[in-house]
Amino acid sequence: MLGPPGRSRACPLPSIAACLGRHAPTQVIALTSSWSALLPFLAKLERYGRLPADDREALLLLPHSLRTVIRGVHILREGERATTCCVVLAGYACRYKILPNGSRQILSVHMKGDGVDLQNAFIPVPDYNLLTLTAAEVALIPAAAIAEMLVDRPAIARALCIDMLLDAAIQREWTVNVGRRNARTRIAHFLCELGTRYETSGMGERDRYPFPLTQEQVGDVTGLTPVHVNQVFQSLRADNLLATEDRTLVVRDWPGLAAAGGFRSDYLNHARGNG
Amino acid sequence: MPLFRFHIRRGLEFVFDPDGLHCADFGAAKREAIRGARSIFSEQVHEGKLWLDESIEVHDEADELVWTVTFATAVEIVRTPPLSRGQPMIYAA
Repeated sequence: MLGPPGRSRACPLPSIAACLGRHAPTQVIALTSSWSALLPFLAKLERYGRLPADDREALLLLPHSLRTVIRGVHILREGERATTCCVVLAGYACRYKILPNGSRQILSVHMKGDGVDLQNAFIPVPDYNLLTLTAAEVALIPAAAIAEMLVDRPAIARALCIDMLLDAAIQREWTVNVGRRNARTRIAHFLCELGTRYETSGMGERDRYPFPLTQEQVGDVTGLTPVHVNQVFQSLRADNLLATEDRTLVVRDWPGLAAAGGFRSDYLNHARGNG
Repeated sequence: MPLFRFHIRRGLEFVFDPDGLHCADFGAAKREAIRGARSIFSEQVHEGKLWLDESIEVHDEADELVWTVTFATAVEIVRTPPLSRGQPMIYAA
């Protein structure tokens, strides 16, 4: 059903006037220039349930600085003290660990709306590196502001908690991936997950999404060598499950790719069983 | 660092490497090829079917074939001599 004309549901933001009414002017000057930048973050958290109006506003008005960075930039390094939490607004970023022998394991891939390292609010020294995989736009929120919000606003605390639990569910799936799935299944599963998350975050269709990762990076995700990744991609292409066109991944046969990866999307959904 | 491409050949089937990899030098490229061959090979072992003649062809930036490694030569195959009669069987751990 459509809403009444003139009331757009696409813009659930507080008006600037509302901001002006409730906050000290100095704050507003700092915030108005980027007042909607955290909208993808809010949209993600509201997937777990609608937040009260004042909570939504408090979230959107969190102090933050915006950074537009090129591919391959470290936002955070393992062992260095972090004072901010990073939210991805556009592009892809990943967390990874590096071993003394130089080999790298990518631990997670993040996209629009993901709060990547909310843990910095409580654990100030990260055990991983945070790197952009593409040109990206990120918002850096002071860790103290997140910590404060978790204490002051139970509805947001609940949403952030669900978010972190779902991150843990993805992590479990990745553990199964590198531990028990074969090369083809690992990659097919990863590609299905990425597509599903891309669609869930409202950016487009799950069977056609930007895929900036190199073979080496896919290898670092799945614990395979680049040469092996190439061979698996070729076999998936040969079976007409997918195609790659100019850094875009096109899934030609979603059920086929999901079957090849043993992929079921329920772990990505907090309301399990809804698909 | 120069770019190398690692194409895979299995009989008439040829898998082109669209990305390539930057390696420090030719030696590093060779090691990468061997690593890739062993990685695919190990999966074939899991599945119980080995393609000994499958090979990785290393091409340089000018697309010249600079090196080839067949799977059979990417690993060392060691076979112990058969036991002679009366010799006690020793099971190594």
